[in-house]
Parts: sequence; C-alpha cells; structure tokens
Amino acid sequence: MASKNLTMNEKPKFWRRVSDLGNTLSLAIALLILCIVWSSLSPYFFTVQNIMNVLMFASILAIRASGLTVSMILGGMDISQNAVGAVTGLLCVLFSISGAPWWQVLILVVLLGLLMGVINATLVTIFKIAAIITTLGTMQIFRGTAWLIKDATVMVTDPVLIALGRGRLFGVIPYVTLIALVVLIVIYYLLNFTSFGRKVYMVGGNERASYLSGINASRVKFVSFVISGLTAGMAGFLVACQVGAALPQSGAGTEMNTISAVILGGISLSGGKGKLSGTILGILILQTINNGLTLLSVNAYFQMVVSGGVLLVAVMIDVVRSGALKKQ
Amino acid sequence: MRGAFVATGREGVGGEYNLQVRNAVKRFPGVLALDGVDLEIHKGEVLAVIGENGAGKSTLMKILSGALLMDSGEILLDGKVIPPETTPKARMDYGLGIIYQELNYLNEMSIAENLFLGRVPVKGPFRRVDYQGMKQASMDLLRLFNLDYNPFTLVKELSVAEKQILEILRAVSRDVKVLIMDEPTSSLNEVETQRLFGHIENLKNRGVSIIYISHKLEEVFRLADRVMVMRDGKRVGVVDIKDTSSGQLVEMMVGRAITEMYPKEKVPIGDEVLRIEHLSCGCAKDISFSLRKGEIFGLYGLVGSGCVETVEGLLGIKAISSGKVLIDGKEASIGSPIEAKKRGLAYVPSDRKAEGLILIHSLKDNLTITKLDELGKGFMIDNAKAKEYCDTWIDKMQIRTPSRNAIVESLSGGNQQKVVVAKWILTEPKVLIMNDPTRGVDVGAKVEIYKIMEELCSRGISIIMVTAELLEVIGITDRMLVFANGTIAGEFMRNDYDQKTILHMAVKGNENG
Repeated sequence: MASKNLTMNEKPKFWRRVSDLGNTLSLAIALLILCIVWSSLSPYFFTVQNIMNVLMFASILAIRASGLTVSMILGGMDISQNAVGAVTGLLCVLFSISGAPWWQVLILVVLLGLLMGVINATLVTIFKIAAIITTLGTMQIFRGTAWLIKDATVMVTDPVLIALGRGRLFGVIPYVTLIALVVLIVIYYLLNFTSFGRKVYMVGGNERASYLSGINASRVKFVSFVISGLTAGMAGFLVACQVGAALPQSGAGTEMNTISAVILGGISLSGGKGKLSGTILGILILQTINNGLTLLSVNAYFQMVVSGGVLLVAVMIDVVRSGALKKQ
Repeated sequence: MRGAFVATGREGVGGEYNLQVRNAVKRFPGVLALDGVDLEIHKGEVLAVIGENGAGKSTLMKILSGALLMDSGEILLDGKVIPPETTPKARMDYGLGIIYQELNYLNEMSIAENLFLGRVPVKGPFRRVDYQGMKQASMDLLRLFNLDYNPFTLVKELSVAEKQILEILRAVSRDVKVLIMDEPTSSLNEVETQRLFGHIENLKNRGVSIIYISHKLEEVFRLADRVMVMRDGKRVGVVDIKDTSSGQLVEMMVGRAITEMYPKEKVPIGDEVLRIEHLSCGCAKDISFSLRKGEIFGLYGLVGSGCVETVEGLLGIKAISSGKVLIDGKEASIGSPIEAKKRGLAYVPSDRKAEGLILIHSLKDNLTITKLDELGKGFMIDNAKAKEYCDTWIDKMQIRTPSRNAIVESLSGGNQQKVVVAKWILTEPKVLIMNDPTRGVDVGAKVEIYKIMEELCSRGISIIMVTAELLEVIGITDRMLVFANGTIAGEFMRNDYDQKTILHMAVKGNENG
C-alpha cells in the first residue's frame, strides 16, 4: 500500500509550503526589482515624499480591492464598485455642504455603501443572477443615478473631510493609508481567522458541495457582496475628499483597474483561491509602475498599455509555471 | 448469449494480434505508473482490463489514446508501429478510438453534427456544409445499430445512455479497429447496460476489438473473452474468462484474498429514529417507510426509479410536494440541507467530485467543513481543534494521505470517500444517508467503506443506503425497499433476499412504465 501513496503525485511538505508562498513571493520580488529599476532611473523615486504619494493613491484602491477580493474568492465579480463610489461620494458631499457635521457624513458613507451592497447581494443570492451580470446592470443604474442626483462637480468644503483625504499624520503618513491599513486588517482577519472567511473559500471552491455540507451558501454570498459594496462606498467617498470634489463621473472607465490588481495578485477568477496579501502586492506593483512612468514623464496613454501588458505577462508566467501548456 | 459470442469471438483469433503494446513504461514524478506493461488483443475480441484505482489502467489507456507520452515501449497496430508522439486525433485516423468516462459532446448541436465533428462534409465552391449528405450518412450509421432517431435531434435531449451509444457510432463512423471503453456503464441503469452490451456485441461481430475497463466484475463476466489484471503498474496476468472466477480475479487485483467482500455483522436493532409518511418529491410518489436505530436500510432501484428523489426530498435538497418526516417521533420540517444537518441527518452524495468535496481545498478544510460554526465560535478559528479532528479521523478511517494538508483532489477515490464520510461523522448524526457510496471506488476501499458502515451502526447510527448495485444492497443491508417507477415495488428483510426476485421487481416496474 505504500506505493499507493506515491501515486498521489503529492509534493513533499516543504516544497508545498514554498510553492504556496510562490505567488506572493514572486510578486514581492517583482515589486522589489521594480523599485530598484525606478530608483536607478529617477532620483525622485526613492524619496519619502514620493513613496508616500504612491501609498496615498494605492490606499484608496486597496480599500476597494479588499472588498472585491472577498467577492472574487467567492467566485463572483463586482464591477459596480466605482459607480457605488460615485453615488456615495456625491450624496455624502452634498449632505456635508448642506451643513451636516463630518461624523454624520461618515455614517452616511457606511449606510450608502451597505445599501448598494445589499442591492447587489439580493440580486445575486435571492434572484440568482450571475454576479457579473448583476453588477453590470447595477453599475449602469448607479452611474445613471449619480448623474441624476447632480450633473455637476460638487466641491468639498468641510476642512475635516479635506484633511481626511489629503492630510498626513505628522505630515508624513497619509490618513487614507491608515484607514486602508485598518480596513485591510479587518478583511484579513475575516478571511483567515473566522468561520465566515473559511466559508468564503469553501463556497468559492464548490458552492454545491458547501451547500450540501450544511453551509448557508446564500448567506455567505450575501455578506460578501455587502462587504464589497461597503468598501466601494468608502473608497468612492475618500476619492472625493482627496480630489476635493465629488463628481458624478468619478471612476468611470477605470472599473477594471481594481479587478486587474486583484487578478495580478493571484486570485482565481473561478473562485476558491487567492490571498489578500496578493491583492495588496498587485496594487502596489501597478501603482509603482504608474508612478515611475509618471516620474519619467511617460505619456499617460502609454501607461495604460504598460499596465495591461504587465497583467498579461503576470498571468502568462503563472500559466507557464503551472505546467498547463506542457504535454506530459 | 454467452455461448454465441464465444463462438464469434474465436473466429478472428488466428494467433495474429490486432493491437499490441510492448514493454510500456511511464514514470511520473516519484511514481512508476507503468512498469513494462504488455498488452495484446485479437481482432474482434473483448479484453477486459481490471485493477484497483492507481493500478495503472488509466495511464495505459491514455498512452494508447495519445493523451500521454510513454517513456519507452512501443505500440503496434496491425503489425505496424505507431509513432509514439501521435496526437489523439491522429490515433483515431489509425483506427484507435477511446470513449472516456466523461463524455465529450456539444450539447447544443445535433446528433449528425456531433457524429461528424471536425470533419463535416462540405460541397460547392464556398465549402457549404452538406447537410443532406450528413443526414444520409448519419441515418445509415444509426440504422447499423437499429436506432431510430432524427439525425437533427439536439444532443442535449438524449439520455446519458444514448449519448454513450452516440460515442460508439462516432467511433464506428471513423472505421475504428480498436475501441477503448473506460467504465462505460458507470452512469447507466440495468436496462441501458443490457442495450449497450448488445451494441458492443454488434461491434465485435464487425471485427472491432474492444478494450473494456471496468470496476464491475459482474460485467466483465458477461462481456469479456479475456481479462487482463493490473496491479501497481504491472500486468499481473491475463486469463480466459472461461477459466476464472470472481474470487480469483479479486485476489489477483488486490494481491491478497478477500475472504469476505461484505463484512456483515450482527448489530442489535433499536427503536424507530426516522419515519417518512406519504412523501412525494419529483418522480417519487407516496413513499412511506421507517428506519430503526443501528440499521442499514437499502433503497434499491434503477436510475429514475425515485429512490434518489426520496432522499433528496427527505434532506430538503429538492422541495417535497406532499408528505411528512418524523424524527424520533416528532414531526420535522426540513427545507434545506442546513436544517437537515441540525436535525441529525447527514448526506454522502453520489457525485463525490461535484457535490461531496471541494477538490481544490485540503483534506483539513474538507473534513472540518461541517464544524466551521463550532470551530469559529471564539475570536479566532480553532485550528488546534481542527487538526485534532483530522488526525483522529485520518487514523480511525485509515485515510491514506501524505498529510492533513494534502489537496483532496490528489487522493484516490476510496480515500476521498472516506473524507466525505468522516466530515459527517464529526457532526454525530443520527441518520447517515449514503447515495451510491462506493461509486468509482476500488475493491479494497469498498470493503473498507462497508466496514466503516458496520462500525457506525454498532455505535448507534442508522444508515440509509441508496444504490443501483444489486450485489451491494444484498451484501450489506439489513432490510431494503425496491423502487420502480417512483413507487415502492416491494420490501425485503435480509433473510428473504433473493437476487432474481429483487432484480425482476426493479426491472419489471421499469419496463411497465
């Protein structure tokens, strides 16, 4: 019977550990190489000021992507996030300039994010519409709603909110980065240390088998889409604070940036696999690339070409490494 | 029937082989999957290849079909060497066809289009599809097998059995010389299996050689002329079907004598734990029965007889149209597997890969999936407890795995099934419902699963086993219901089990409908 164990084609434990780390590790190495290359090409890259700039932009993306990570591990996709953000940003800034104190505005941010998350979640779990189609529909509905609410730019006037978006702790660390850190820690804890997180991985891996094992798959799905909506709302509002104005077209056309980052981070489109650490690295890599190209005064359109190329190369490396192209 | 085909089978046997494999070697990382295997088959012969999971059957077949490259050895077809690197399509052109367990069709296309997939007849300067020619050719093929379908019927409207026959037709239309069939009956019922065997006979008479891979010894005896037994990547032996017995074959497969395939023990039967009254669900109509503590209760019926719907209704997987369920004498409404679990019902589904396990996750994740709520009660999920569960049950069920973190997909069928059973035992169920628990599991592991079932009963768990395998239901259950056409055709106590009566009851009902 000993020979039977061998036929299972199982790698020894140590190597499995390493290959488990593989994706995260290679992303981290890629990021490191990128930083070295940029530092050698531009004297401005490796400065505290610049790195904090990268973090400032990366932070908001990370907040949005952390929720997307949950829904994508579940095997769903949320492309309505930027539209959710636009509605939240617009309504909350309007609320703020109508005289509401900043803390009430923050409560509204959470409520609006939750509300739109619940709408997506209901369509996906109760009406059983495929997530990508649901959010394709709600993306347009939310975007249209944003334009209907106000087809103009609304300036942020509350100094607290401006400070939230642009301010820095001790003049160095952006507040948004601190907020992102808290959000990431919460999502990390949820995914890795709670039964809810384990269920997300289980349902993403095989919804039917999870359901038959007595897991309330619908509830797990519901909560995941609510989380995705909540983080989208928060991100959208922080963008408004950072820009200093809420726009109905905020984030339009860049819906796929978050998804790119998450996929670059190694989260499987079919669900069940992936880590939050991958998502974070994915975002940092994309932001660093853009930042470097900007420092080198490369055309913005060319930056888009590079971002797309990087995503494809990363996925290609993954395909080659997994041996899917080889005939045994 | 057997006499007839022995006669025809012998005609083509003139010492010359249709297909020969010589000294095939295939090495995977860490394993010698094929260790110098030979195989030869005569024209118009059925050669059964049997062996436990992991014996090397599939590897050998994949090498024949061109899906895998062998490290050394050669394949000769009609005396000519086939270049080892030829693709599956090229092998087809040589006349070497394979029908896999998982059938490959385009469901949204017609029978004719599927038959001529990849070589659709065309005519005219614009290479228009010649539907008329395709229809004619398809009808000729269908007629060969006495089938009466419209060639433009969509494949999705056919049953699994019909699709299987379609696959045979596809091979015949390509003028196949040797056809490999990998467990073709795994999803067929008794009647359909009979029909398939008729078609195989037909193929034989046309001089096609058939390599038939199966787990079911019963079928091997009905169909094969010779049997080749494999174990641990080696050919253990080839025997004429006339000169062997199932006992001998099992011994050759396992390498040791299985004194008893069905280790039935005396377990005291207690009070009623579950009662179903007038339950209707899907095609199952007005089903009533009761289950007692420590009992193994069989629901036997062919595919579509209603026994699967009965348990799916009981578990809340499918909505019931009427009837009630009583657990410990109290009425229980069960609307979903979640409630079923709370009421102490556990379910081992028949499709292990799609419904029983999350293949991409580890043994630990799969085993503890039923306990996540309890493990996650504290601030952090209780990993130490999860590990303890795993180690306990890997040991108790003798799950052969490199570690508790092994991905379940890499385990053998029998070990996967043990994981499914173990995850439910963790919930300490009152009733364990097993749907075809030994499907695709090798002989050795089957016996182990039966032993586990006995062990559970002695600990006071009751088991409902749904199966379409007669020998199994007779071998292991204390009491059984025979289903036919969605109703209960009869009930038997163990002492009154009689193969012929039971089979007759199940099949007769089926034909009446």
